[in-house]
Amino acid sequence: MPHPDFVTLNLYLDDALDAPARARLDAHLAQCDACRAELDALQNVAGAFAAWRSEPIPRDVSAPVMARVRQRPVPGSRARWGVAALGAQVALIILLVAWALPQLLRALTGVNLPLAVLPAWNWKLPMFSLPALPGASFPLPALSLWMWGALLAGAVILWFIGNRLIWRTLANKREALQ
Amino acid sequence: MRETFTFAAPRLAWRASLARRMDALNKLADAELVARTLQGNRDAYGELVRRHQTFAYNVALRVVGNRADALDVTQDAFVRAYDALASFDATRPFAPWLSAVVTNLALNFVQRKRPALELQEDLRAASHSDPAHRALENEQQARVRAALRELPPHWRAVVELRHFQDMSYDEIADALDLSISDVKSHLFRARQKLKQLLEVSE
Repeated sequence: MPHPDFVTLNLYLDDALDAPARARLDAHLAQCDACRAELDALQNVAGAFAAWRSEPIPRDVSAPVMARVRQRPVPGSRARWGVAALGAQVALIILLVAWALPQLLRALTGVNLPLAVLPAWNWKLPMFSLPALPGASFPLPALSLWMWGALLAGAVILWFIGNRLIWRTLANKREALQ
Repeated sequence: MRETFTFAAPRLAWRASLARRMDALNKLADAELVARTLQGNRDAYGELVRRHQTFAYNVALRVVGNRADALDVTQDAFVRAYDALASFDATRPFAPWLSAVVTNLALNFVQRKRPALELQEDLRAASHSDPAHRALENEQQARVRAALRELPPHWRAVVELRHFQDMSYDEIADALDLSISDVKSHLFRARQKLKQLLEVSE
């Protein structure tokens, strides 16, 4: 076996070589003084850290830390609230789409959604069969499909901006560790 | 005289109750303290802070290389760890997770605030001016500390997590948001540099 490179020696030191590679290197080290000296030098570096003694903290930080902690919400409570808020929004959006999409399509394109595809949404839900229900049949402003698309995109953008806090809360782990 | 009795008795009872609560928390394992904190018991987190503050301070000190800044980083890290406590896996030990939080914060601090040269001067000044700390540093540790200060912050952070916290390459990559090849590269180059520095200082 040729002399191992620096990376291989480091992997050996960290016990990160697979068994055959380790065995080959063990055999090489048994007969190569130069490589053994190189490995010893690396082990000395690691050994220097092992002998490190911790020093006492100059002053107790528990009081100032706890003063700040007491002003913060219980960990995880914001995340739970965030998940609930997201779930509520998703449910609301599904309901809104179910309620508005068939009528919107009918008003804009004259296309009735096929019964086989959306029977319950289009015809059988009480909200669509009760004319007295507020908003069950709403007058649509005379906007083109493009303008409706732009309005929808704007609403989605606003929704995402409004939800930045929730996304951040849900991504709490990565934020804390970075 | 009667007023003294009226006010002192409840206060003493409250102190005794507080002491009993603290005593009870002292005996709990880290995982139980974390569970209680997540249930809203902030005293449990206070016990975690008292228990791990010296450890966290030393992690911060090795990365920032300056005692005053290490103390600030330690405090910020405990607040950050509190916010993220829900993401802590209670089946694993608390200290390595805390060390990852402290190391990241210390690394950000070093990269954002302090040029390396200033760090060196600060630590040297602190070392010489504080007899209590100076007495604690043996010669070998002083040489290693000086060598560590010569490393770029990212290398120092990787060395901290590998050699002092005994983390695997995967765990370090996850903690510092680096690729595994970057972790290896930083670690191996740091060792090479430290080897040279320690050989020179001998």
